[in-house]
Amino acid sequence: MRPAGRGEHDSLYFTYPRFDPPPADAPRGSEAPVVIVGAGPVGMTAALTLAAEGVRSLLIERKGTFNDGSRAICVSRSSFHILDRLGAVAPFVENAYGWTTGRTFYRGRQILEFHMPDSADERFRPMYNLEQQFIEQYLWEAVARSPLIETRWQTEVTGLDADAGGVTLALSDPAGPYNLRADWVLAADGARSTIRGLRGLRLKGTSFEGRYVIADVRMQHDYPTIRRALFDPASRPGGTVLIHRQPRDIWRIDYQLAEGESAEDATREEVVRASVAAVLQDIGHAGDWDLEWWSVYSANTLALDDYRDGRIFYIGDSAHIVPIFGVRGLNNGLADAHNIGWKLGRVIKGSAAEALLDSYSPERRGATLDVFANAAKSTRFMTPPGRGWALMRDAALSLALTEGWAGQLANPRQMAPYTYADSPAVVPGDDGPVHAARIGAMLPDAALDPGAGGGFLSARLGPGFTLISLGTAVEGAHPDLTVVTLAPGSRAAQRLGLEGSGALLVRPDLHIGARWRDAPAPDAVSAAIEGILTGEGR
Amino acid sequence: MADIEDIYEALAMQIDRLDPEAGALFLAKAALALAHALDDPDRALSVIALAARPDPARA
Repeated sequence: MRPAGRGEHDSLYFTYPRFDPPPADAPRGSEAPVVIVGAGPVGMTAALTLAAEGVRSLLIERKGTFNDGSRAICVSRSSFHILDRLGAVAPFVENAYGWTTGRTFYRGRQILEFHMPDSADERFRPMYNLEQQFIEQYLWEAVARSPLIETRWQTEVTGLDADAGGVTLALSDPAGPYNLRADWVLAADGARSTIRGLRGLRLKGTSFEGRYVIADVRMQHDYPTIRRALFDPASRPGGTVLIHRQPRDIWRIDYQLAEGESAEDATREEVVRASVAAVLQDIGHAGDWDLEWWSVYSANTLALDDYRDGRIFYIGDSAHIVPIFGVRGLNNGLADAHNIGWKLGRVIKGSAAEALLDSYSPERRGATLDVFANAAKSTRFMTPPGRGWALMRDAALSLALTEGWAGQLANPRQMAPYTYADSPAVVPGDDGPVHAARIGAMLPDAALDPGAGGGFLSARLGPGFTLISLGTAVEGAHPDLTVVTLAPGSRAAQRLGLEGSGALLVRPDLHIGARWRDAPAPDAVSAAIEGILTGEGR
Repeated sequence: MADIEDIYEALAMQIDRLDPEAGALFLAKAALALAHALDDPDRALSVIALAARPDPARA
């Protein structure tokens, strides 16, 4: 919602582009083997991942512009690595605000300051803030550059017929309806997924009671990019408030509605203005401010039982809805898109077996369930669902005023990439001495010694699989393999837990697919890659 | 040296000083702080389970 007198896309800081539907006389057929429904951040990331694999896709989008308002604003380090792999990260690095620190206050007094892991070994910061419109714009710029992606705006899915060989989509644009056949469909059409509805599938899980108004305001406010959480502030007695800084003097304010407060009333403009003004008073902002946009939100942990439905894959919010606390919605959506993208690309290109696709749901649904476990804890702390939860939360906050250990109970458990430990697309073995670099984990980045050319390990990885080795190079072991050799005892080797002549195999999505204590023979490396590509790594 | 009777009396007197709502908060804080001081989460959970058992006299 926007203030009276301003249209749906009348932003204080962003000019929404207008995308036309396909010309009426343009052919409506497509040679693309993949149709992606939904051109939001997740759909565009899927298209870019397929393009990186050399696979054409057709993006279908119901709207004629980007999503209204700034919804997701926190982009994690792991997402930056995905964007880097897709050649799209530069404008994000240039424009987003990186941050590492969060502060939590109880009745105006700080009870916790947490720092997310960061060091000179990391190419990207643990978290960045950027308005969703710019997330979509930067992705769109990359999509528009790709000759392998066709986008049809103002095109709606009205029906579908799926069979063993593909999916026939009934589409409609301003020129009229038509049918389109696709080998594969990626449903990136959001929380209210049309595809999911047409297939008769339902999200299952828990809906939490607490509701929040999220509001973006523009103001010149002198506070660094530090996430602030206010418990029981003067502006929301008994409630919680979150404050994030975004670029262009835009600030995100989330505040909890009181029990019995109606969402309808709370989202009236004058009520939002009064509520925001009270929060700004809490944080000592006395200057001018403009209201940009607001919405209402309630926390849910909902997911499909299976993210694969024959030749349809659900990615992002069509597959799962997670609470905002911990900033996992967008970031898990991007990881979904990247995960299915590299697998489907290789299957279509014929270098992987179709069975590899069966690893998508266990890997990404596993990540969702892990998110649920963490996000549900954060949500119960932010919005206690009952008398006991509220009492214990208040007890922890009260203790935290004087006891530092109690403040840790208010830690929001920020997004961390999931480890695919039990996936059929990793090769089980010795996990090595470093937990963060165990099999299935996302590869930790590392600064390389100047003698090794400097820079970061993540920038040396190949487009497909990469063997990071301390021993004899095994060039030519597999056509999809790049080899990176590290010096034994180097800082990078230590971060990866590589000792002696050890090696590890990195999948195209940066997750560790196999490890060896001793230098592997070329046949062993090739067998590991083939095991992953056939979904029979285990 | 303090013993369990001293703990018993200290809790009783503190609860008496508070209204019922504040008493509940005090007990929750005391339980959390005691569990932290115990530094043995499994033992703390077993103590909580012990305290949660139904009172046979009220069954």
